[in-house]
Amino acid sequence: MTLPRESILSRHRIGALEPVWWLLALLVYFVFPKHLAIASSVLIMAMFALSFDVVLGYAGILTLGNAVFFGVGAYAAAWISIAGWHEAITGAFAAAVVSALAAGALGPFVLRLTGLPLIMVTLGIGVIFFEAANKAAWLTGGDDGLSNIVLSPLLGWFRWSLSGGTAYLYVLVWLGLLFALIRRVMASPFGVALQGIRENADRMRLIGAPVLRHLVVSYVISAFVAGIAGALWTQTNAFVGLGVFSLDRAIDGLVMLALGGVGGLYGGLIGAPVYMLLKHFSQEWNPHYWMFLIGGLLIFVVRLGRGGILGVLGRVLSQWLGPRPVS
Amino acid sequence: MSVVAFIILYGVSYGLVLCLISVGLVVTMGLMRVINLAHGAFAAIGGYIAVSLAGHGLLPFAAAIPVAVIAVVLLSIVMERLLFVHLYNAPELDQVLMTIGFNFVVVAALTLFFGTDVYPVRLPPWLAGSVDLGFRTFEVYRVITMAVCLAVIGLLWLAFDRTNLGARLRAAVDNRGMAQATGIDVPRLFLLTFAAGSGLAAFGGAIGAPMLPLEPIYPFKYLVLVLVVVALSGFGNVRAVVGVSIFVGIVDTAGRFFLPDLGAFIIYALLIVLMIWRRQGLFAQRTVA
Amino acid sequence: MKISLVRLVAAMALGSLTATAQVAHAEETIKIGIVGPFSGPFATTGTGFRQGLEAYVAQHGSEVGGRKVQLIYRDSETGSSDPSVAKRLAQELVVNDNVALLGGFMLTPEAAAAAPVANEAKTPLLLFNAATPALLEMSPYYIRMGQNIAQPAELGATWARQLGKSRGYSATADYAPGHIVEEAFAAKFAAEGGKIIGKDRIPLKTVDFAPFAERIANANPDVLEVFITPGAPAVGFIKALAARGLTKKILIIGQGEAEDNDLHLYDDSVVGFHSIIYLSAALDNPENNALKATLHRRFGPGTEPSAFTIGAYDGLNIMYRMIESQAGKPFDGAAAVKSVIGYSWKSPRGPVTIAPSRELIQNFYVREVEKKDGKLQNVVIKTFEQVQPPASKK
Repeated sequence: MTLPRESILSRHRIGALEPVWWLLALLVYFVFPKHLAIASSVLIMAMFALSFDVVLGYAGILTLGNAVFFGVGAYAAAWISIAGWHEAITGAFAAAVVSALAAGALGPFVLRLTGLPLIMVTLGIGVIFFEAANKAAWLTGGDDGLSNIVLSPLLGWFRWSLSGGTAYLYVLVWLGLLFALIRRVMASPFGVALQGIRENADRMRLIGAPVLRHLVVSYVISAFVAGIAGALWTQTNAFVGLGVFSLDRAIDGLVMLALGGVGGLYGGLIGAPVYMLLKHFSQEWNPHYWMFLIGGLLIFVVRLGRGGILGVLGRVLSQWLGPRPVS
Repeated sequence: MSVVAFIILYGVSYGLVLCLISVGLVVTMGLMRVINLAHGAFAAIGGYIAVSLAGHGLLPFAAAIPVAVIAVVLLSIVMERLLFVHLYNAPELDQVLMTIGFNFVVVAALTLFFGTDVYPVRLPPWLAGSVDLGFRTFEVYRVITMAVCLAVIGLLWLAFDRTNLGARLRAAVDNRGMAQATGIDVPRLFLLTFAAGSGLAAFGGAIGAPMLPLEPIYPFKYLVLVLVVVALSGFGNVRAVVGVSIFVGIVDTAGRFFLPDLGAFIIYALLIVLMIWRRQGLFAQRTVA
Repeated sequence: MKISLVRLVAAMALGSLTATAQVAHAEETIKIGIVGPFSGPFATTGTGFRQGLEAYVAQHGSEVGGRKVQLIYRDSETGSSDPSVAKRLAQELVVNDNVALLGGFMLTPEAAAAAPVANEAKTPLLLFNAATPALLEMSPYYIRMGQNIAQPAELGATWARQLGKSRGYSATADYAPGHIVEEAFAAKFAAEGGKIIGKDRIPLKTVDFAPFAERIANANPDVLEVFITPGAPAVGFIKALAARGLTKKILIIGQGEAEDNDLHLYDDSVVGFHSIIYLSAALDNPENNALKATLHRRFGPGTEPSAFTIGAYDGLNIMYRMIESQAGKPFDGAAAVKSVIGYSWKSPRGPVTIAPSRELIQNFYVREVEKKDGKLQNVVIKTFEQVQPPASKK
């Protein structure tokens, strides 16, 4: 799959402006203390979109199935808590490991495919997980979901307040850690190899790169991140329902990433707040116009081909600041 | 015995409608290599136009269907020139995103014009009711639908196999570069094919409305089923579409009859297994350049 | 990214204090948070909620027990399969707006998700329509205004046996409420001497119901208990039954599949459909007539009370009683709930009492769809008086 210049996957670097995002995220805690619940869910969706970026932006795997790993992480975190392990951090980690294992099991089969068959299979897997979760009500609570989820105070000290302050910072820290980790991995030779596979898998095979294994590893990493997002979802809501497996959520993640810009890691982090805010305001205006807006925006972003919001920003900046030295 | 009859009668009628809706996508995907997730949108629009024309008494149902088809064909020509033409060389991600975006817009428009509820279909008296086949009764509507679908598919087959246009189409699907080199006007072929495919989808959506109820999320709801047929047929393999659609219709019907709890699973599990095992489709023989 | 530990601890402490303190600190105004689907596919439910609440206020004023009542509405955007929105809204209402009472919560997962909020903040929450039995056990602050979903199923079984039906079949939507209906119907039908010859669970996403109609026809029952989500699925199912000739042959009993405001989606094949539910817009009692008059005056002559309207209307009545019981003192959620146990009143749906299990003892009506003057409508043909909620088995 070659990338013409106009593609939404065109690369972009912001570099020096990165801390701005994190500062803003921190500021939200102080400036909007009454809205921390929705802020947390925005961060979690950003994390979910990040998981998409790993697998789509870097490895070029077109999958609609990451909601599966989000859901697995969410339910795993719920069971871990219900089974009696109330520590949040290790609980989330363990839940994500479950997701990663699921990806490791599915990956070798699914990732042999490309294009439409791949989309179909990931879609099919997503639907099957949803239906299975519905059927296995003894495991998942079915339609009612699982709700007696109790967490002990964070680090033994910070209570989970009703206002959501602890939850917000907890999610933010996780996001920061995961982001740094992904950044490191993608800058390594492995990350470069992934991009090579995205550009031309056959050529990579010719030079001896273990393509399928690399793809599976990226899939597992993506599932881990999605699993953390799912686990945090359960922990901050003290509730998990079938909606975590829904196709809507997978499409949401994809759209958020596309809006923000695929392949730059920050795409999801920018796309998620933009998407959620748009959704919130257009639904107040008129609930149906929201779909018009998102649909139109998607079409517009793809037509522009400038790599989403990040791409536009990158171009604007490079025009202001002049050509940047290659690092 | 009556169970087998049920499965065949219902599965085939269901499958034939699915065939009409899917065949357009099979051809466009084979020809233009575009992952068009918005194909169902044209079926939905066709269905809504036909049913609302008939429902408001402006036209009898039988006349409303061709009108709807023509409307959708015109709409699809406009859309092709405006949007879809840009997808022909685009990466798959772009195609997926833009067609999803198009779906969103269509769903929003349908909700705006027709409301969120399922749109009621009132069959004209000559289509309602059941006919006694001797060993069981069967709905008149389904009998007529099967006949009409078969007729349309038959015409399609003829056109595909026996006409010049069909020959050019087959050539372009098999080897686009070569076809263009021999002077076939491929871009115009794309437009014609897109319009025809969308028109067929609209026809399927209209005549299938009593079976596949019309609601605003129709484009998403039947997307997966249509994609199943397309994926299992193999791109551009028009001859296979009829067989595959009937297969899907029968498997789905039988699945839901024998194992009602698991009805949803069966078709997806089948899809996954088949995709991994034979990703070129069930009947694929041709290689694509 | 450094935050002083002291600052963090102070913020947490403040946060938890607010949560555990009693919420209504204003003696003059008491706030009630209403969470419902005011947009999206279930918007008609939200409309029903709002109409019921506004009708009540129009009739009874907005002051009670020396306090002014203020209703705050929040849209739960139900239908995006995300019940956590409802939970977040409940949280925000309690923490930011200091509501003393909560109401609404259309779907069971939403109500389930909100339970921790109600428990931590000790806020009574009135479920205007949610019918899953397990909900009341999730929080001692929950009171149900609708029905326990097992009730109409059990009554259906009883009534079918009264009519001499002996071969029972159930076809229910494949999710928790459907399973409860299936179990309740089967248990009661068998207990009263009938025989269950089949139970089908219909997946929620089903569009083509022909296979299910075929299965039922092959089994040849004389009564069919139905529980399908209203709207497209219900319409499709009944059409499939009619196409197979079943609507003329067997007794079909449902619940909310063919409500009056949905009947325009059907054709004549729905005539003869029976449903058992706890209210009927056609009831002729003073309260119902007064409610209808108020609705017509405020919202137009065609406005009929739905289950959601009446759930909200009665819910606000309970809330007013609670506020009255706490007149002159800070609002205590637990005491308020206790004060309304055993409370009886005349609702538009008939006489009602709140049972100790925090659900209602009420009438149930058997209705049949008839075609009168060219219009389809539900007609009450039998009343089960003052039905006790089933003993909880979960």
